[in-house]
Amino acid sequence: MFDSTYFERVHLVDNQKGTSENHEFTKLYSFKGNVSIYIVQVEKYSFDVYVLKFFLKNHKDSKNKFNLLSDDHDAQGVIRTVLDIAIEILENENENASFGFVGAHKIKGELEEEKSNTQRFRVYRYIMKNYFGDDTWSHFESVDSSSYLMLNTRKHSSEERIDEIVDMFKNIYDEFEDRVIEVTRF
Amino acid sequence: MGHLKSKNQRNSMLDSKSFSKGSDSSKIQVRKISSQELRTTRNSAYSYIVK
Repeated sequence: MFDSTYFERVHLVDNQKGTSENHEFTKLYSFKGNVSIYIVQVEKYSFDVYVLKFFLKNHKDSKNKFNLLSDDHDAQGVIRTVLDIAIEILENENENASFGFVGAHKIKGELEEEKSNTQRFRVYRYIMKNYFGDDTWSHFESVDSSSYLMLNTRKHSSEERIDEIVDMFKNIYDEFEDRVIEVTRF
Repeated sequence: MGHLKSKNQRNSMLDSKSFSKGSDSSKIQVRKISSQELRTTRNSAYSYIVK
């Protein structure tokens, strides 16, 4: 699974300034999948955190662009390409990069998935657990918000950065703003 | 932001080994996945991209 990639087709299409103190910049990459053109949105935050999101180019003007389905049946190649962009960042841009993903809830017509423990989150979590170990990363999940963070521990241990992690989540995800964040440590 | 707990309150929570999700739907839990859990729930058919 997740062996095919369109990474050789990826090109940078935009580089935007950040929109808040902790949001440093957003880069947009584009690539052609088997059927459609996809946009990968890479948001760089403080503490070397990169949040990767993607959507269909055809949905770029929709407020629900992260929630809509493509029906291309091309998820494996698309997700692998997004992972390859992350690896490119790690290898050639920032060896201390940490990566966050949000499994957006799906919207199809009048149907809307619950925002917690979404199907996409469960897929991303499966991928992260199986393709990324714990020599380089500490893995964090928030089932409630369907988000997953791989914290790069080359520079700092995750224990040293637990408060930063909480603040980071708080700043990254709009949904966190009015919600209490609790951290479980084992 | 007004609902966020203070640093002292967070630290007291961190002292706990674990705690269950309350009935308050406004709460979000962030959980560290232990190395043991990562290894035991992993499918060995896959190879690491980055260990």
